[in-house]
Amino acid sequence: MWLRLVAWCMSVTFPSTDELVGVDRMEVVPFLRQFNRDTPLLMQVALSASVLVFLLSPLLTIGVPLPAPWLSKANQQKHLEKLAGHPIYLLRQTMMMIKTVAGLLWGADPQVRKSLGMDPYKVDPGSWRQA
Amino acid sequence: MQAPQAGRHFSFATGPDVELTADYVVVGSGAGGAAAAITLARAGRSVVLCEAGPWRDPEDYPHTMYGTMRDMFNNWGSLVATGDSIIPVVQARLVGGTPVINSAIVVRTPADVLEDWRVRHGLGGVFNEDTIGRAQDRIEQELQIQPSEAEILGPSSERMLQALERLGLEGHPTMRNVANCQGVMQCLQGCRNRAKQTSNVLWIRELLQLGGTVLSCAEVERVAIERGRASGIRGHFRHPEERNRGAGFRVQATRGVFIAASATGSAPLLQRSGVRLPYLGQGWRAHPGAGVLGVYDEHINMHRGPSQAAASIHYRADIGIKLESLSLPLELIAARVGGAGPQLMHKLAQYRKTAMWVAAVRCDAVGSIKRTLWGSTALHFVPSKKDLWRLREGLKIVSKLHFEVGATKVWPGVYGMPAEITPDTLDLFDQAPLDNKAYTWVLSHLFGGCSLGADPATSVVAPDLHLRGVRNLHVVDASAIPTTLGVNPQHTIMAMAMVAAERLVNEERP
Repeated sequence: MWLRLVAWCMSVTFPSTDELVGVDRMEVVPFLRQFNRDTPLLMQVALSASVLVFLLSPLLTIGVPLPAPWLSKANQQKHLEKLAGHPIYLLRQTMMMIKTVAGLLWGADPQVRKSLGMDPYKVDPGSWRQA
Repeated sequence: MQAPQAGRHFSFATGPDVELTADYVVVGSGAGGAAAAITLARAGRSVVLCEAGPWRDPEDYPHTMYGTMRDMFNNWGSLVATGDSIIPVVQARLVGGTPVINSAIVVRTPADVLEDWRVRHGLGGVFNEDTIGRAQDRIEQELQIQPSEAEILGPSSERMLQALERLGLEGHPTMRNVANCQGVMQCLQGCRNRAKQTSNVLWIRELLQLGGTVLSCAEVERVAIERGRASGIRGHFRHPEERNRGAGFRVQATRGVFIAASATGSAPLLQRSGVRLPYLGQGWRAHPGAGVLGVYDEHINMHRGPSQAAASIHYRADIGIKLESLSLPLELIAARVGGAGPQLMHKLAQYRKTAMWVAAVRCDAVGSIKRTLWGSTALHFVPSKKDLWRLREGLKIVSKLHFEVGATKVWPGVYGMPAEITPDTLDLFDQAPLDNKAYTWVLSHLFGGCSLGADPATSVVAPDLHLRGVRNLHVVDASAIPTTLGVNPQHTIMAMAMVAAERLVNEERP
């Protein structure tokens, strides 16, 4: 459930448009499972805290006392924009964290790269010299 | 278990502890550690080199930025400087250190810096134009350091050089330690084409051939200090993926211990080892930077060319900034572009029409680094108002450069400024807030924490290259540098380490 909420936050931050494929059309939950396996606890805590702020802060951004997923599409958009440029530094840093992590998924997507004239990535070997 | 060690590489292992003996042990395999280790080994000394990260060869390097952060960055880049804002620190954790993931820019130590060290820090007898110059001549030959070739500069750097020329400002292709660069913008992911001449592909291999020993995935926990003399190190192997602790290791060093665990690692290691010097962890400095994206009508394709092939030191002396092109991979640009939702996606769709150029600031601010009670590292660094003014001027100059060569607008990425600036509104930079929290800084070029110097009140390492109060313990990385440089530091770090190692070998008692 939590991973789906994180995935939802990333999807509305990087939505598909006429110009580009967004995170909403990508396999976000498997990516997040991998992210949680690979990253130090501090990164996971920072991402979770950022998502929590994103979900619960519409009252602070647009004055609507509802969690972000319950907002209308138009209000969700207003909430996103206000949070990304919020006067309180730590609030706008939460968007930076979500964009940083979601960007790692989005920018490596073969379809996105193709539409921007870039070659797809090969698979990371993940290997090292063991002896 | 006393293991056969000459010419061996030990990686993560479980089981009995590994015990080794050598003339010298070097902690850290980055610019300073590798340079010191190869110098000692070439002088015929037995050397054990310990590196906390794994040893990855170019065929092991990742393609994606996700893989780069996982496999090469220090803890996913999760170390941040705090104070009144959060500033991420870019450092690597693998054999070869941060030079494996930097843009390969190599700049000689400016003469004014060496003069300052002589006058204010009493270092002229060791590090001077003669000793550093000779070491840098040798390094330039060995690492094939040369200007970025015109054919592979890439469109973003080409434009920056054109802009600098048109405005009559100093500008040059970056000097880099590369051979046969193909300009495929893989500098930040290492270089799978083997163009980058880093120590993991040169000096550390040679070290093994000379009978040295390399420990990778080997976290050094303490320096052993007995009766005022460093006698070795101890630690445990740590698995680079699972992060579980493996076997222990101990290295007895009969002649000396060299610390080169970086400007964020060396001071905390010495603190863990019981060193109590008033200036340890103090005097921490940096060249943080921030960038502006120029938006053009035509395709720029900043993903072609090296990540940084153009630079200017025109304003190094008066304002205290260095200007550079910096092409970021698509995955990282997303976080750098303002906004969210459809507005963000519209900007990202213009990636091919953008170019990013940055201003790196030679900060006056002095921070500190220490080990916390729970064993992590706490870094405190707050750029001063003057530093913020420098950055603001730098971003304005960079924007002016963009406009000079056809950008229609720039995205400054500064809170409190409009999301887009056009040539008509360039002067709005003068009203940008002088507030750290308004800028998206990144910390690179780190210095201090174990500063060299003649004054015990403001230094940790004496001009005789021994840690104050502890014989045979030497610091040979960026943490020993007592000032900022105003240029990229890896050449200075390598040269200082070589000079220090040579000098200490020459001073050995029979």
